[in-house]
Amino acid sequence: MNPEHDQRLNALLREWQPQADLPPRFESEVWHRIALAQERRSDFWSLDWLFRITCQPRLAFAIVATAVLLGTGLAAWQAQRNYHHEMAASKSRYILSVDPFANTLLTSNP
Amino acid sequence: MKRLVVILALAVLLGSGAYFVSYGVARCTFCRMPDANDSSSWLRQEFHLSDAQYAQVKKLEADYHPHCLVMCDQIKQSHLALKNLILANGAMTPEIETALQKDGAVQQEWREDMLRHFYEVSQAMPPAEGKRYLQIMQAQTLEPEKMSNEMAVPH
Repeated sequence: MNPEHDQRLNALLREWQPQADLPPRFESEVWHRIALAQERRSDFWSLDWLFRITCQPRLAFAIVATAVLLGTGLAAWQAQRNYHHEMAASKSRYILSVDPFANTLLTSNP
Repeated sequence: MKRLVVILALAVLLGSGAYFVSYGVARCTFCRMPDANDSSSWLRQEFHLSDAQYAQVKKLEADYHPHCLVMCDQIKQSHLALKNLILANGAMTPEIETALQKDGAVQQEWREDMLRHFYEVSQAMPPAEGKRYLQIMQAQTLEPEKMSNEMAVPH
């Protein structure tokens, strides 16, 4: 590259003043977003976000409420699953008690 | 840090509490388990029998059960006799034919008795439930091997 050409280009760039209508506080917003992005990246693995969440009463309540809902849902699912399992076993017991042939088959073919 | 520990502990405590309470409530209300010691409790649960209907079903069961045991014994003996004859002979013999006929007669008697009992039990239930009971139990009369295999396969 020609050094003389570079100097001229640099001078031209210094003189250039773009006339664009930027929103108010554009520059500070940009820096704020950059800072936030850096903060998020560094905080995720240090679990700082968790500390921040628990400092907010609404989010802390949401954590506890989610745990309660999960517990209730899991219990309902488990109770229903056990119920169907028990009912199937109970049906087998009934059939064995009324059907001598089923009884014979099961006892002769263990 | 302290706040985080308190909130997480609270979440675990209340979540576990909700689990145990909900499980207990579910088992006491809509997921009532049938009595494992009572073979007829399935009927009560599955067909929503009242106390009076259940008592009548229990009486029918009590009347039928001794006969069921006798039938069970007869089927076992008939099968055993047939099996011994089949293994003792190298070809079809008149004894095997007789044993086959006897086995068939025992099986027919068993089917008739069982079907009679199923009809009696279904009549002790509300009509719609009685019909549903017969739909389930007819397979036991027509395809006993299939039903027994399903029962033998652990789920």
